[in-house]
Amino acid sequence: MNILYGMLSMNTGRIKIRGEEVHFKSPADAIRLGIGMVHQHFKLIPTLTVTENVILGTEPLYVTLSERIEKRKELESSTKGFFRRAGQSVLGGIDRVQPMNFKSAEEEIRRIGEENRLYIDPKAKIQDLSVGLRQRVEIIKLLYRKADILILDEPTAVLTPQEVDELFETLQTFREAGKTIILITHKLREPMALADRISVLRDGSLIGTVQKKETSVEALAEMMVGRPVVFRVAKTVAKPGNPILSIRNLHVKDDRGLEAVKGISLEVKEGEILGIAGVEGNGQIELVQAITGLRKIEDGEVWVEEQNITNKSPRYIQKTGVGFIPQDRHQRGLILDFSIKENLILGGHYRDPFSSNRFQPFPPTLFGPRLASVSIPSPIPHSFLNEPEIVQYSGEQVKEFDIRMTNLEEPARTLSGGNQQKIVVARILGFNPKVLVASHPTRGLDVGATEYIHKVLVRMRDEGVGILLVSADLDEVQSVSDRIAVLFEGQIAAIRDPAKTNEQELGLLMAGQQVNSEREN
Amino acid sequence: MQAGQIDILLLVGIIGYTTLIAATPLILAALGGMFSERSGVVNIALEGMMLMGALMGAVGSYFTGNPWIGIFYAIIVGGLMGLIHGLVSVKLKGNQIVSGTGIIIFAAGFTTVMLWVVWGQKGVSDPVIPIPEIVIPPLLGVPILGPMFGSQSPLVYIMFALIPICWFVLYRTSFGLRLRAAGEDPSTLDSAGVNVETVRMIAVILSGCLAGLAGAYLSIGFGSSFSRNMVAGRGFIALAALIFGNWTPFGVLIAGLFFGFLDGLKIAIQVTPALGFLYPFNLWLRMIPYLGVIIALGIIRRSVPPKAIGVPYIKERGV
Amino acid sequence: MTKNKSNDLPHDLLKEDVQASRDRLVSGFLQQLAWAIGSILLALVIAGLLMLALGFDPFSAYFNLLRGALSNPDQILWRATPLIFTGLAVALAFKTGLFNIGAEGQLHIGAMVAAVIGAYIALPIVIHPIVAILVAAIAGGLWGLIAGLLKAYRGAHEVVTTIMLNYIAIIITQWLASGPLMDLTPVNPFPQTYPILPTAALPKLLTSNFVHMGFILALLTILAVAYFLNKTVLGFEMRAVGFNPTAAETAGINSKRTLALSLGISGGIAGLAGASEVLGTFGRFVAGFSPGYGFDGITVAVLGNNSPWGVLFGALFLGLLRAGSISMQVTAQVPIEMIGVIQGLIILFVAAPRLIIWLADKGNIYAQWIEADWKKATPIFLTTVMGLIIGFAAFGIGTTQLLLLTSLATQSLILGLPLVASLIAVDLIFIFILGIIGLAAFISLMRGNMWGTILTLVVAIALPIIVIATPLMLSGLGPIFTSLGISPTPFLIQWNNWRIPLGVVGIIGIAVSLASFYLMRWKGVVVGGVI
Repeated sequence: MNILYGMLSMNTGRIKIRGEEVHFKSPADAIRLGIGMVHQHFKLIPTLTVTENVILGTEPLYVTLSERIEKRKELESSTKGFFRRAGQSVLGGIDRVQPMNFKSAEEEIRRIGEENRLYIDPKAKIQDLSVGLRQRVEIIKLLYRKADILILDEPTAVLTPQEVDELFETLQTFREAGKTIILITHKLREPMALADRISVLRDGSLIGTVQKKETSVEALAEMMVGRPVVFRVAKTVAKPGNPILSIRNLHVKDDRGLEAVKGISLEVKEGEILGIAGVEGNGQIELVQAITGLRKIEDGEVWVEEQNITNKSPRYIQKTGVGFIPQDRHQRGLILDFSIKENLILGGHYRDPFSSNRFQPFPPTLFGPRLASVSIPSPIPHSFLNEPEIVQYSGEQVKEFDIRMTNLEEPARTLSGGNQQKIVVARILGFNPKVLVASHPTRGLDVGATEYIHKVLVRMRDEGVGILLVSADLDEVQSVSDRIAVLFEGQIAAIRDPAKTNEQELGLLMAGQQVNSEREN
Repeated sequence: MQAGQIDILLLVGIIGYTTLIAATPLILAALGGMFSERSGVVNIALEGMMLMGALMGAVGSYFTGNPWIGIFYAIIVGGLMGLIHGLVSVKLKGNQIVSGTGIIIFAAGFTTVMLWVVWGQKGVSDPVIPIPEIVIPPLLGVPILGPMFGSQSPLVYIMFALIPICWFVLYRTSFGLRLRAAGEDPSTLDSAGVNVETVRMIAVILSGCLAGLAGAYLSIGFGSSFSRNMVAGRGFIALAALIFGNWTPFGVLIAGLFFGFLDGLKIAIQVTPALGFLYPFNLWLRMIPYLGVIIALGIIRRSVPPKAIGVPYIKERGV
Repeated sequence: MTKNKSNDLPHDLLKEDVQASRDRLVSGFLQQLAWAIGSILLALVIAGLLMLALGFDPFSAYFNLLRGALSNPDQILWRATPLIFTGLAVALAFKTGLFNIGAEGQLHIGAMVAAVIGAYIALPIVIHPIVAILVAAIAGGLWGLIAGLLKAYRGAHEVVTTIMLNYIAIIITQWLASGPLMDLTPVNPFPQTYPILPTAALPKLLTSNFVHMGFILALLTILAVAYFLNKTVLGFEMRAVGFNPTAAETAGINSKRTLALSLGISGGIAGLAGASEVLGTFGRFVAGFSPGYGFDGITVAVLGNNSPWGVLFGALFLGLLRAGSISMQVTAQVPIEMIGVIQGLIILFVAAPRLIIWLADKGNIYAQWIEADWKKATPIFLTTVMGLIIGFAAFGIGTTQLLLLTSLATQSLILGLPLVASLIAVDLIFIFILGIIGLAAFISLMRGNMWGTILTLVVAIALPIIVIATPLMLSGLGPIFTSLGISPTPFLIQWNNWRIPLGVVGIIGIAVSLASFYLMRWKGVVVGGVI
């Protein structure tokens, strides 16, 4: 969709608008053609006012020199070329330093608001507005630019049910006014409530387009989830032991300061995989970060066995035996410019056997083994990396996890995504965690690597590790987990046994639908 | 006035005067820095741009005999430095701080070479014609205002005029709106159909022009010659004033006057015989503005910089 | 014969995974080295043009620079010593993602502390300098730690605070040297402290008058920093924070503590620079002893891509410039500060490694080609540059020598020596033809045909020959001239100045045009329809 809006350029294919083929170089072209987009992450600047955000890029002026003269020029003749362009940019420059006509803009925003029942104070700052009002600003922005093709990317992801209803009413009136609306969403009830036609996309390709009247939520869920399942994970029945990770009434805020996790209580037992299913943005990231010490816990507690790890430092939490496979291996999982070896010990580098207090002035690679044993103790424990141990260990890990590489010194950046993720997994498992928090561990991996990581997870489980698996991939959650908790809007909607449920039920739960047959596990 | 007795009114007047003359280059440069940094480009090159401006101001005045042409040269050369900084850090997406350092080192070397080429010496240039001061005779007798504004460089008035003008440009014109958007969230600006790089380039060039003007004030506004390394860290103090002033024009004015007050103290002491007893501490007095900056930035307050500052905007990633 | 095979280059190459090649271009050791050297060359060329514009003779300047430096190689090492320390200091902070402009202040503090310990505390011979150096390092480190703490816990930008701390350090040390600790005996324009005791002095190395133990200490520091960064826990954490603070935090690293310590250690290394200068070179603290070692350290670190061994390379290069700068100033009349201009330009070029990519986006075919396939494109690109340089050089010689040689020729003609006159005239015409061929080579290279390479080769061979042959001829005819009362010496001196730079240009020209000749002829690389 970013392509359609001109933010990304396309590789192949054609876009036609009103029968004419168009090429977008920048969003400016799309705006000119009447395309407007509400991005999933709002394109609003919090420190500016509503008016400023709305008029950005199409600021109203008292006198618009360039447009006037352009019109006159067009009437006079069609002289094109350098001078005309130069003249235009000079005039445009003069326009840019003229005072903006805030008054007319504010009136226009009020008028739009009244016509479409989108009331807003034009002088308010965005940072003081609620998420629902912010979205209203986004829609006003489109109307202000006179867009008649509206693209909405996950518009309801951040709204309360009431706000969603209001939004849908607004969109209905737009439809009646003859505007085209493209609604992108993960939630099933929305297109059913609003759309005329529904296209299902999966993995970047079109699965099918159906008329609303001819389909149902269940049928859509099937199209979305996709059949048949590519593979199944071979595993035995879990033998859960004592609870090892307990989360009690956890409350966590997101970056915007809104409550993202609203009182989750969970228990992960030794030797079981608890899968967390749910549409993204329902509090998964915040939950995981709270457990691993990366985000402040507002209320509630997290315990690992007998130790309280609430609001402790990440290092403390890792020492108590919590391993974490982050959702984004480039941002959080790996240091791409570090070598494979270094990435494999990152986080455990300050512990035995990777570091010691022995300073060895004669590295065996240069001076041979005889001098290598010469060492000077340092007063600070664990101050020197223990190179031979690290090399030996990472060599073993590379072999065990089948990481394809040419050299341990190679930077992680050069590896494929699957091998990069294997490094993350190998690192975390190498530290023998008691609890493993795996957040989207197979995102962006090919089938082979995915299968491998699933196998590793099951093997860890069999060795008695408690695993919390967060994934947006329903197949994965279903095939790997021993229990499935469905997360919806920061709360556990239900907990199911994967053997006794199906995609349709889970899909409905994920979409916030209540399912009649309550079968708490 | 009797010896040993301090005329409070005169002292306040003198301190006011030295505050003004020390604050003017700081504020001009900080206003320049404001444009650049509000658009998301760190500009530590202010120091170098000021130095080049100071040199070209003196050169222009020396060769044409007209200091205003010197001012013009200074603005042009400052803009040129801004263009280079913009090319490296905006167009080529280089490290903004490294690029700024490059300009500072280049300017330090180039100005000395030019001193040698033009005047055949490396320390101080020949005297050049400074910008004539505006004398307001009726003010001369007034106690505090007399020393402050009785005979003052027109650049000081220009500086005061630039504050509301910059405020207007930043907050009331569409250019200013786009500039602020580029510094806060370039991807939003991009999605509004505006070319982020162009906005940033213009902002950095403008920033250079103002810094060049600030430099010219040093050589032909307040002084009447160019001397080697005459900027002496004022570019960085301007940067601190910008941070302390929270990246707003009036904040910059207040912070600039504050740092100018600290910086001007030593001049005030030199020209006031009654304060002669402080003269042995001259070196310590020179330290005051620098210490003041550290205390202001490190201890008094933490400012919130524009969000996207220092990050080159790369389209694919910005979406 | 193989032309057909590759006629579609480079356009086809461009499509194939341009992004990957872009990533390759910006990273990778060889490319970094190539880029550093390329930046130096670009900076030298632009500085040369600047010199021309300001009325200096760049050939003479560079020639004398090189001669001055190479005739005193120990001066290079001596000048490089403090730069190695400050370069390491900047590079180490940079590894943590911090920009330490404060090396200047930290080295002043270190120098003052070393001078005080050297002058006022009596210690035995080997221990004395060691103690002085250690305490100086600690003092510099504490000075750097101030900025580090302000950065980590108060969010004060390290660039501003370190610069301010520079000024404060310089003023404090100046006050000490001109007040409480001032040495009153000598008449000296600069305030200075009492000399250090002989026990504290760092001995000179071998027979040199300049290089002292500080250089060895600097080399050891390189080793230590390389070891520290790669083999210690703290160094590991610092690099982790520098590369990716989010991932480092996720892995349980305390990034604030690491940031503060990084500036502290960086300051300590800068303090070593001050100590080594005081104990090895000056023997006391002299106010204004540092001609901006801290800023030079930034150039060194940037040039060395922040790696310890790269710093050595950068410091030696800058040491070479500094060592040769005096000779440049004395003989070629170019002020020393020109080195600063070159330094600034180098930094700007190194800061913009995307220059090639940008040029490619702007439609420069050579840049596009280099981006797509730098291994093949670089020699031919270099040939183009050489064609340009050679063309202009030959042309330049022709024009600058025009008046001199014609006056010689006319004088000989007037004096009735048609043979000598015609010899000189042939020489002159030959130079001109060379210049024209050089320009033609450049143009045909830009058009992408093979004649360009051949012409470059011809000029590259002929240029050194004529540059050597002309003075030989002139000095061979010398007796005739002197008997007629004309002295050819000024011409000979001028030719001497041209000789080495043009000889180098010629040799490089021959090498690159042979390489591109090989590529074009036998590897079938052809740039088709460029213009």
